[in-house]
Amino acid sequence: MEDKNALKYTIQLSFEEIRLPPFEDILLLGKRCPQGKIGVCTSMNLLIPNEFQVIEIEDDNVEAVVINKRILKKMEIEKVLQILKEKVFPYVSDTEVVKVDLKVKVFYDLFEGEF
Amino acid sequence: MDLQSCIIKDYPTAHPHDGIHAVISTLQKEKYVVVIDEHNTFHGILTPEDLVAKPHSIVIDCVQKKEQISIDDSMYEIAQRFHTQESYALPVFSGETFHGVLSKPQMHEYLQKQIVELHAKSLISNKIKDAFLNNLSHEIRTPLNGMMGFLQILSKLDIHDYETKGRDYCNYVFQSAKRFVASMNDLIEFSILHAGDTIKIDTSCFGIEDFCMELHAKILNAEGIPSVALHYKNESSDFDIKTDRVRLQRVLFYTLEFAMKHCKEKAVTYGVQKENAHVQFYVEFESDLTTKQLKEEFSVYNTNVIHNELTEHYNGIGLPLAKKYAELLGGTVRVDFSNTPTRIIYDFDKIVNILV
Repeated sequence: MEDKNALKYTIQLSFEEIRLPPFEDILLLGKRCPQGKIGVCTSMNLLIPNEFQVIEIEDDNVEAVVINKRILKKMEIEKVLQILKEKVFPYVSDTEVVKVDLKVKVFYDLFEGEF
Repeated sequence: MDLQSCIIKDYPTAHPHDGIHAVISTLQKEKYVVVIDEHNTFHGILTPEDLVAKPHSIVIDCVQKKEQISIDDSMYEIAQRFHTQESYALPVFSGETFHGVLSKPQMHEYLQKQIVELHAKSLISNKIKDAFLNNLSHEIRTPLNGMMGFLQILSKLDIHDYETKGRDYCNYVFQSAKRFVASMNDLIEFSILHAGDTIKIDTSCFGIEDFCMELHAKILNAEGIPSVALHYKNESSDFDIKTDRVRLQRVLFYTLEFAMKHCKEKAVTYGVQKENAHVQFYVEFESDLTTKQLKEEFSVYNTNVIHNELTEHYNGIGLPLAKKYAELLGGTVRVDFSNTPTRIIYDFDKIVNILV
């Protein structure tokens, strides 16, 4: 006879492909977040050597910014930081690690030349 | 106590990539951890305050830059650094090399000891001043009075008397001046020794016979000492000793001076005995004082009292200074009252010159 009181379990299972590191463009590190800049930089370098650059920031909440060097090839670092400070930093608390997707599209308006 | 002795060489360490949880108990116990990697490279000192400011997961992310102490820094500069940094411990560097750690409690202890030493030195300075002033009056008045007396006589002499007696009187003045200078030197040294400070010893090697002959001539030619037969005995053959010749001579000079002033039979004997590395100088005399009076006189050997309140008689600094000098040269003094004649004995254990 089936025991109606037998212990049962259910599992919810799903999976998907991810890539490491878990961000592509920019990572903001809060001053009091669990991962410090040296730990993040070291692990990034171990995962993908020479792909990212770490910049220390003078800010109340953000300690450092980890930027993919591909972005810096398209836009100057000062410009990137200025955009981040204006558009993102005000929303970051000091205990957070924030992933920023920043895609740079470059296009020319009009240009002339001679044959 | 110098700074080097305060530097901690046996400090708790952590690797830069260690997790914070691995070092938290050490931090709580020791209040600091030195971050050093496998290549012995210094990365900083981690303190609990760092964890509050930067609560990250691994040690190297939490370390904050701190003031560095140089091995050549003065205590004032070190205190300033601790005051600026407000850290429990700071790293000590010798040039670019990490030398060790200095903790705040050790720095406080070092400063406290410095303060105590300086305070003791200032007390010694006060004592020197007091002892000097206390003895100054008698020691300078006596020869000065002598000089003034004879100068007054000289000023009243007519030409004839000046030609016959003037030279002698001038000589008396000169001898008084010499005694004055010697008294001042002795007084200064006695004041310094009495206050607990030290003076430099000039050690040289010399023969005992030559030493005693020089002493013999000095005591017989000294002013103010009664004319008494002085006998010398050397119960060992000539040998060399290595000590401060001048001060050893002062020890025996003052002792002989006392003996010659108080001997009954107008004869004083002094001598030296050597047994292996032990040398004993003695002065023997039959005193005109009773045993009780003798004991009062020699009470200066025990109490450094200059003015004897029992006899109301000023003893001078000769015997106390002799005792101080003897002790400075590593010796001891005792008086044997039990036999006649009275014997004053100086024992030295370390002045025989041993040729290796």
